[in-house]
Amino acid sequence: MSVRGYIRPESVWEIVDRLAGQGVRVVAPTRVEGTCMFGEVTSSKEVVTDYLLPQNTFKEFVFPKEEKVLTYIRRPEGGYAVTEPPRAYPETVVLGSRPCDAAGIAVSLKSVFSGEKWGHEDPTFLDRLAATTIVTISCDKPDLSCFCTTMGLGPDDRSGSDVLLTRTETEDPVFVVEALNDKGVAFVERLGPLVRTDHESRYLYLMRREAGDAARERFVRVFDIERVKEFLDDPSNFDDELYARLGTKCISCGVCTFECPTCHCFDLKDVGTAESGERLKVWDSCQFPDFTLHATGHQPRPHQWERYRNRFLCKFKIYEDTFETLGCTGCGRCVRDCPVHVDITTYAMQAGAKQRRLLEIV
Amino acid sequence: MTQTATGTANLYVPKLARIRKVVRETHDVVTFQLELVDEGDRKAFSYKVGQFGEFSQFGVGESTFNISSSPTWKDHFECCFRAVGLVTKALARLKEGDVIGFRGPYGNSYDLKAMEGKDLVFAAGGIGFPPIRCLIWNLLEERDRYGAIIVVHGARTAGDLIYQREMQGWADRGDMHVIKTVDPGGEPDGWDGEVGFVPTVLEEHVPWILEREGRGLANAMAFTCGPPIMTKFVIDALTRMGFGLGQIVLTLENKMKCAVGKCGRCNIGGTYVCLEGPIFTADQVAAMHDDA
Repeated sequence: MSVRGYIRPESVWEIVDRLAGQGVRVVAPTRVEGTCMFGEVTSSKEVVTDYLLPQNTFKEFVFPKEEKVLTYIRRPEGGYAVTEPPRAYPETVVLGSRPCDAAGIAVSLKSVFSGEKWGHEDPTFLDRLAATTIVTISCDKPDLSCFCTTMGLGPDDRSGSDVLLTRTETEDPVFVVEALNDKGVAFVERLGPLVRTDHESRYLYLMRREAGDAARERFVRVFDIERVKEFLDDPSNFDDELYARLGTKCISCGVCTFECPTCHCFDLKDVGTAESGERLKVWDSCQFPDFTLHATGHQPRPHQWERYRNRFLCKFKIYEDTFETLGCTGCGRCVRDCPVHVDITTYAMQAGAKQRRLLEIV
Repeated sequence: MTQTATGTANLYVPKLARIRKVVRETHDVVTFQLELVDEGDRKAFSYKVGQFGEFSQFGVGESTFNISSSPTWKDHFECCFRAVGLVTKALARLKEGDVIGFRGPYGNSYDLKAMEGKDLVFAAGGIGFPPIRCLIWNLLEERDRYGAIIVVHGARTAGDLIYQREMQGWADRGDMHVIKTVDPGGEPDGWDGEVGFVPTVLEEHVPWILEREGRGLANAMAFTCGPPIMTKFVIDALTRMGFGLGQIVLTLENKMKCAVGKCGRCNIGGTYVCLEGPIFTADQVAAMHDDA
């Protein structure tokens, strides 16, 4: 059994103080310009404790928005000297991840960068992830946009996490501590007396399971995605009317992609002159018109709704086909924060409904 | 390379390649003959016909080009590009001895085995010729393994036709048909080639040549690369001639950045061109979502 004890509610965020004292970089929900964001913290005082989901994911700490690939300088005798930056990354603990983000980043995003299926391992992502311990806190109060249960995950799902903390819904609630792998065990050992062991593991496990089950019942955005993939697999549905109807209002801001735990698209860009400079790997978005624009002027996706169609396909088909992991973990950020209320779950519900009706007629 | 937990080299760091020779094919198309600068890199380097690479001018960025030479050429490799965007315009200004970045080879390659004993039709348009040209040079190394070879290559105007210095040599061999064409209006005075779009010229010439020299349509294969609109009409023309979609091979040189299935740019529906392509049969392409 993975249960290692429990932490008293008032002590959970003391972990920050303890780790910061040990020289560990701690990433936790914090306040940035009035919004709750994952950010580096050095004290429990900086932590936002009454959060559901920070507006960003902690993706940027393993897949930076901007990462230097190389620096180059022209040699006096001709040619270039190319140097890679050192690949030494700080030991990092993400405290207060949610199951949707842990699965999205440590499972799905990892499947893209690990090259498990296709080769081509991206070592900077993998090294950063290897240096990171993901401590997830189970959700107890999903909001109207959360839909992880529909995507096959749940408020207490373990995928991608190293440690899972679940608040019991008992009279005297505690956070049950589960170490899910060796990294998790090592982490729990570092917490010392913060983790108490005076309750029986079996009892803690049952209470933790009850809390998870209770939270699962609180999801509102629940729908059937069974036939969605089937709809998307059929190339004749690629021109279905739903795409233009639902996507025309999209304003191409890209917020859905930048907030998404599984979006992996990036650009490689040079900054500098022919004499010296850097090559950077920077986040990009399939929602931007120049993402696919060829130098010849050829544009495979001339309309914005075609770009959102690509995003929908990526989340519900391409990810699964290409990387064999979940393209969407149901975190709901793209639903919650879209300025014009484009809603990927509406796409999924309508695609699924169309597929079901179609089959009834046949 | 830095040794770390994974211990592998950074995917996006290019090797250095020196430009041995610059060939100005047309006013805006350039061929580079290249060799890797590092001797160890040079010795370890090999590629298969039809693969591509990422070529970069430091300070400007990378572009994706087919490796347009035959892998049987041991002393150098080539790329050929049209100066049309930021990177290609910067590359086109370089001269012999300059050093560029190169990553690759990437992608799949043409299946030479499948072509043995077959009559081969090639249809190339504009800057779509290099990915066809590398294959033809490779085949010519062992000419007797293949049946008839028909090459139809076209461009907007006579001044846009590339590899002209090589085409005469191919035509003079006497064991292949080389047909050049320009779009209507693109022919200069005294033009000795065809006038018409590649698909039309293909349909005018291929049937009678195959009739005379071929081994039956079932034993033919066609290869095409060019602008999307040309490719579409080439497939239509070949289909009218009786080619099955499985006998038509395309190379889809889509826009790419990483070339290794991570940057999310080259997918056509659910197919990553860089991972599963760039070479596909037309029936594979027909099964894709129409997103190219």
